[in-house]
Amino acid sequence: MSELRWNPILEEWVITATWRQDRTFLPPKDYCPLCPSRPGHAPTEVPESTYQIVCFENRFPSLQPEPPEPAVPSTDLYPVAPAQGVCEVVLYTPQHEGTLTERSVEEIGELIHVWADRTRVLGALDYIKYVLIFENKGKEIGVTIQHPHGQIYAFPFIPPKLEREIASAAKHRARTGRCLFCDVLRAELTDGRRIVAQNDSFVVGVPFYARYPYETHIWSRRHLGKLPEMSAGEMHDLAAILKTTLLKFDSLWGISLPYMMLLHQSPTDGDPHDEFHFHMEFYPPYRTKEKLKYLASVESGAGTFINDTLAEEKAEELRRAAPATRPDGTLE
Amino acid sequence: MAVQEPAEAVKPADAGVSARETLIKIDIPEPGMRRREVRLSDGRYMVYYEFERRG
Repeated sequence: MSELRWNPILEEWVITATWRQDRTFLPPKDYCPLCPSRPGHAPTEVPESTYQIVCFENRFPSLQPEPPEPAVPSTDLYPVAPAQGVCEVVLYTPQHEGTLTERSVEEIGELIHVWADRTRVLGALDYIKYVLIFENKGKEIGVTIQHPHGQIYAFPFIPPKLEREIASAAKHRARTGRCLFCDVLRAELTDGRRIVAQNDSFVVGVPFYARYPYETHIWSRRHLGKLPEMSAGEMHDLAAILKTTLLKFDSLWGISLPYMMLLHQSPTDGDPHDEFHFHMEFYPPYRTKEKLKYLASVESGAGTFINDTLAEEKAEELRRAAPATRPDGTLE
Repeated sequence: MAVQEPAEAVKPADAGVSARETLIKIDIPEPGMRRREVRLSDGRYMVYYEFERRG
């Protein structure tokens, strides 16, 4: 059973998708469902013997192009709707071992071109209002298959966190005439203490308002809303800065740092959304090498994050992590 | 979007499509990026992206 259930208290949709209880959970070591199929072995999700980058519909989707009708009736208090949308899996490489960090800048650049293409294709569907590209990395985040991969959720609504970002940006623009994110980027560059890295097109930093100790954002210097608006040069620069960021994460403590990685793009709901500004957000779940940051009662039940650290100190740690960057974020 | 070959003109075997897949289309959405979309036997689609690599 699958449907959208409206939460009238928080005014947001909840997706139910009961078949996801049966999804693949930590498959045996000698069988990876995301590796290419090999003669004489059990078939995998990918029928072919190799690939560069491949996307496919998730076998256990939260949203579907042709969803079932809701199993419960819609009421005035509790509206329900079909869970229409698309959930894709994106395989970065046929190689089972490794992570996105180990891909070359050229390969990460190719992945960015694929992300842009999926944004165009999925965003053009008349029932899609938001294309969310993301990666959950590490068992701490609940990853059940280790093969390097990310996901795309194409939503029939704008997810609430993005809706808040868009509303804040629209309010700021109405009040000042400027882009909120451009102002944030300007403030971060002027202060400088929270900058981690930068190149010609992008800036990496631990934002002033970081909620997780090592929360890191990548802001585009140019005011643009989504990947398809980027030039080839900007996509290359994004690949380079993404590689630098991931290398720093892994060299921080000498472990492959788990994270949630999300691309925040403007919606595909038909409105221009000139107020929005492309950026990426990373939420590593650790607050020290051994200690996880849990989303406990205050975070989960009240919606207020308590960050036990200072963004200024964490940015300095990340600047020192290899490849080291100078105080202004340029590579040493 | 430049379409490299009309889908109906491509024989699955020539396009490297396996027995578990049915070719939907092949095109080049941007220079240097080839996109091959197939239908899996359970009805889901799969899109292979191929790039001209320098190395």
